[in-house]
Amino acid sequence: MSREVLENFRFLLLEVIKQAEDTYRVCRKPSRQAVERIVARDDYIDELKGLILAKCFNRLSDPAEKENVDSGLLRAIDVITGNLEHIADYCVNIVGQLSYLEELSTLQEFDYESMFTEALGSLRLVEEALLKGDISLALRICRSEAETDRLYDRCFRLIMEELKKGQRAGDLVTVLFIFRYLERMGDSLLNIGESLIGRSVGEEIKIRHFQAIEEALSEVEGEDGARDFRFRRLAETRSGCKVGMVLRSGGGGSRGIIFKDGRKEKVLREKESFEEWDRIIPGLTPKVIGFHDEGDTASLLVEHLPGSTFQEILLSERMAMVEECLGLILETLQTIWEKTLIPRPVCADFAGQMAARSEEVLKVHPDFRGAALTVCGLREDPLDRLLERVREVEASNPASFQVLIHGDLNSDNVICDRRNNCVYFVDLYRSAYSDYVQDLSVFMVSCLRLPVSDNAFRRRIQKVEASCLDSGLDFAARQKDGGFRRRLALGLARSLFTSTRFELDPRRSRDMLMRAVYLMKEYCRWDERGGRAGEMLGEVLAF
Amino acid sequence: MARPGEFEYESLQDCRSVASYLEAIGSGFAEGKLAFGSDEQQMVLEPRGLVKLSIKASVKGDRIKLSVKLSWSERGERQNKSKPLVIGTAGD
Repeated sequence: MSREVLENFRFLLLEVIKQAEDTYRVCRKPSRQAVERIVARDDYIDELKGLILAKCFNRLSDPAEKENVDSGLLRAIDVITGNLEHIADYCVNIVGQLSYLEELSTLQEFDYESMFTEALGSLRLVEEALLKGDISLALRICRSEAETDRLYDRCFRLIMEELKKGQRAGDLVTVLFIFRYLERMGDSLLNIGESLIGRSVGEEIKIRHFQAIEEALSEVEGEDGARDFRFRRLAETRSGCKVGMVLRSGGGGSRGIIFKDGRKEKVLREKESFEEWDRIIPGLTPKVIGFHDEGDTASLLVEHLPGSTFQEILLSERMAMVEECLGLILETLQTIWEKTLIPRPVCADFAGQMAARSEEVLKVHPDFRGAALTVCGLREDPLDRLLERVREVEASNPASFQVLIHGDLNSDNVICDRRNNCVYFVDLYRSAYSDYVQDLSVFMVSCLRLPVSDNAFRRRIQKVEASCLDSGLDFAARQKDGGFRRRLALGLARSLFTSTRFELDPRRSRDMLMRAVYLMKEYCRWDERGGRAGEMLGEVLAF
Repeated sequence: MARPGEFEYESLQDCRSVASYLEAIGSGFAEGKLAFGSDEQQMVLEPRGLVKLSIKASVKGDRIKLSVKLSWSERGERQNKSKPLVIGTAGD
């Protein structure tokens, strides 16, 4: 790091520490000079912060520094500097509140000293934690937030009790404001601590996630070195799960572990699904390495699988490779379906799935709502009425058997390992016994909706769609499933419709909707029109 | 959403359904009355006399386009009518 940036950062840190110390002193014994000093210092702190950020950005944008610049460190300094400035602002706010107190003694009844001690203790660790990359110190700084919250909560209750007595309300509310600012210092310290941890593990990470990974690793591999990992964020899923890659070194190389964190109910369901799938078809899902829950959230560590997702293969590999992987996927699906088939009718409830997402779709595309239209006497239903009709028809047309389905078989939830000639399923939290058409249709539309308009690529997609359709027809014929085409039409309509919420291009989204509406209308009048749409499926999938 | 005085409908149909639409529009011309509408508004067109018919077909690779455009003037007649182009709500 540039010596200059580091020097300015040290100055800033020292000034913020002084600011907090002086604020504490003023709370004990107010003095006008001290208050003026605090206010003046705040301007200096703001200037220092601006200077540091400007220097950081200059380094980042200087082509000559491209090789030497430690962008992770600069990012940490950016976050820490911003939060230090907030802490300094809270100090100014606190001394500002003091002037509203009629009796300073009201403040002295409550324990602000412990809160200042906590904040100052952590502030004094920041420099060492940053320079040494010491995770223990960073964790200690993070813990300030919980401790500050605890202290705040205690004082909050005492202040409430006093307020109930009906006297000194003005002073008590002022004191409450002061404690609120102290509590917010804890929040800023948590941000600082998390940024410091991020500096050590490679990327910014929430303390909760760090602890979950550490906990899970120590359960599996013992306490030693459980903190010794690097973290790389992979994605934040639409369902709110955080997904990251934990890299462990040792044994002559590094190995990756996938980390998922989210709502407990969902993560637990995924863990159970992994285990259930592993019992039925061993090796199809990644091994669960660790699970850790706390309150409403939970984390899951699973084995990182070799290979690429089918989506990656479809987008970048040769057609022969695509066909080979697709063959493997379709073969695997047939095996699963045969192995898990239960001769009990089931309704996938595609209409319900569409209804559950229609609000989201309409938020993105309000014009989809439409109205009932007539064209020279021919009537077209609006979307909600059409969905209602579909629901009625679907209820009396279930599949005659059920199988274990993935539940969200998007092309990026299937991993193909060409070296070992096998496929893996990931993201199994929606797995259940249901209609096999659900997985097939989700998979088909996930390929179809890829936003690549190049003709050669669209032809490639056509081949994929045709192979999926053939595979489905083949299985349906063997199971004497006469309703396959009709249910597939509805399954495709469901996925086309719900996918429009991720498609902002008006032409493409409108095109997807029109195809979905066509399939839904045909689904409803299937018998009346001799299942004509069944013959049209190939064409509906051509775009 | 179509503006007042305009009607717009776009959908995907198979050939049999397209034929139904063309037949319905054809009957409308034969009867001299074409009604287009939604729950909110209805538009009635009353073609009389001469109608300009233009037909265009194009083939560009696998993209085929056929456009049939029908236009006429109702100026004299519509100006005499007190009702505007949008003449009421559905069910009137």
